[in-house]
Amino acid sequence: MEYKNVSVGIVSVFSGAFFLFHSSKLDAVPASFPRVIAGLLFVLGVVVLGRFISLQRKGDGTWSSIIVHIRRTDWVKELGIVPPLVLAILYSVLLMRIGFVISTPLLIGVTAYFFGYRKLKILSIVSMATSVLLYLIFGMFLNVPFPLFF
Amino acid sequence: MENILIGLIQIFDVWTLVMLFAGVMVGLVIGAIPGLTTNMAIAIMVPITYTMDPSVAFVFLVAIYCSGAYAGSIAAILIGIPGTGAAVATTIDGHPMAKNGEAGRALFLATVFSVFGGIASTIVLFFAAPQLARAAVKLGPSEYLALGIFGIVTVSSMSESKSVLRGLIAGVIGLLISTVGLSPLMGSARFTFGNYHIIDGFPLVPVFIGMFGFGSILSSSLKRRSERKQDVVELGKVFYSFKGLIKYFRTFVRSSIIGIILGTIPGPGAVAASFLSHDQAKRKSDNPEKFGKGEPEGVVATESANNAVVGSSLVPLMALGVPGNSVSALFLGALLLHGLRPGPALFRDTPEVGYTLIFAMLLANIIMGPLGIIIGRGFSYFLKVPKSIMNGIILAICCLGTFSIRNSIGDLYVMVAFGIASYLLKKMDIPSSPIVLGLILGPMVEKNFHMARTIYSDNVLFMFLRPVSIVLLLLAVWSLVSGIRRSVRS
Repeated sequence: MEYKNVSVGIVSVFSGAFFLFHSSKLDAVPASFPRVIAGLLFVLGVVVLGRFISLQRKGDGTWSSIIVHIRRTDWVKELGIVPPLVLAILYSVLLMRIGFVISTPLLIGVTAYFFGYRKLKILSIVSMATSVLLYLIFGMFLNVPFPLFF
Repeated sequence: MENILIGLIQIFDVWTLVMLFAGVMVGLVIGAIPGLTTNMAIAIMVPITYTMDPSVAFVFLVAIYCSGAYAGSIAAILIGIPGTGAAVATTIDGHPMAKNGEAGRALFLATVFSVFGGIASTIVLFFAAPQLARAAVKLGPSEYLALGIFGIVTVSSMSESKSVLRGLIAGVIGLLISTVGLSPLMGSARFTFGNYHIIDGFPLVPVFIGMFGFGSILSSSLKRRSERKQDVVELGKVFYSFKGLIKYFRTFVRSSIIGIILGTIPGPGAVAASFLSHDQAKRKSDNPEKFGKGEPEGVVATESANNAVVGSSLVPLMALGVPGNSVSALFLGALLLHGLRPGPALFRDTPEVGYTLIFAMLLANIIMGPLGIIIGRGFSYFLKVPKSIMNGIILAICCLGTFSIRNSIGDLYVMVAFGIASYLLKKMDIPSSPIVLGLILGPMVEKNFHMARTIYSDNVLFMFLRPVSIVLLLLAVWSLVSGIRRSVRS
């Protein structure tokens, strides 16, 4: 659990400091509220880190538990979030460039394939059918203006 | 009395009933799809009502509002993505209930208590609108500021994280994120770093979809295929017995009262009401540790509250002619489009419209019950689709739903960013509910912070000058202390 407290403390301290620094560049009135909140975040982060340091000084073995956790984490497995991330970003870029008709079935199909579905025939049919349904809802009923093709 | 009878006769006209039914269906379908909001549905339908009789037009629009407020819970329960902002809190216990094989029961509870919550607030609207409006108007900036602080501290101290400190950090992060964009006072850009996509701040719906929808897809990508199969949601049993429902009566009453009060006050809205009700239900429960893991009482609390907001949110508009939230602002536009005057004049000059609207809300809530269960069962057939294909479809819906808000690719990037943030926050055990509430209440808190400072000439103790503020701040402190005691005990 201590690795979580350390990471929370570090994130809070750095985020608070980041917002405090950037709000110093603003005028007094618009900066006042963010300064109060960023200051509060910084203080809360310091409290969390302070607790961690006091436990460390008592010799509760907190650093070693963090090192054990880092060693035990399967970092390769954590990289598993990259494909859906890349797919979502690619879709954001491609939707307006190559159009809805090509990008949406591709997104559904490739995502399903990534998550383990291997029956390509059924996958193609489902991807296209779903894309038609989504177009009916978003494109026709709600008149969302996205291009169909190039 | 005569006007009430006119309203009753109007509501049972065939064409009026048809439009009521149509409005309920539109609200249910739109509200159930993540990314599509009730605001969007009403905004699209207002021009369509131009040629209709005003009474019929408002029956249609109010039916969309009532059913849309409930329909967000369908997607929240079945796929863990809130269909509307008000259903965010329903995701906390609704989706775990579905994963535990109780999707049908979760939908049933959400439907039943949404209906009852909506009926309760309609009755309050009918009998107490002018009095509630007068009380709401008496609240000043220090009360609103204290209310915002109370809301965030309360939800932070009883969040799903075991640490109150982490809950508070989450609430503060939410408040800080809400400051991104144009400053409400001076209009100067803050923390945008030249990025025009976030000049108006982070749009709420892409943030919710990113945190709950896209975030869950990212988490799912780390699981092995065998683990993903265990995530398959089963509909299971649907109905509860009368005895089973009656045990949630107290939770329903408490949550409805919270929803009615917060709905009357301009600002907090259904999201804040549902989170606060969930929090209160957890505090009063004998098994608070079960909340967040599929506790039915959590669904009862959130759905009672968010539908109780519907009727009371129209109170400022109907009684004073002042919109209290974005939906009632749309209603104001619709009233003006039809040449009607909101406020007391609505009941004085065109009573048939006013009373028809109230009866429409009552009927819409009743009709919404069986229709909601049918639509919910229809959506549940999606559950039979393999999880891998579901993830692809959900990702597409998340992206398209996000894009449809403002037709902006920038919103898609916001969704992706908050999806990553949600994944990292889960790793650090930082709860998401306080972040969401901080983000929603942030603008209200900041605006009233500045107003109170101006009124009380920078006097730091200004918040202690008004009795309602004192009570709210004391409740916030008590909430914090009890949260700390709970975490120390655990």
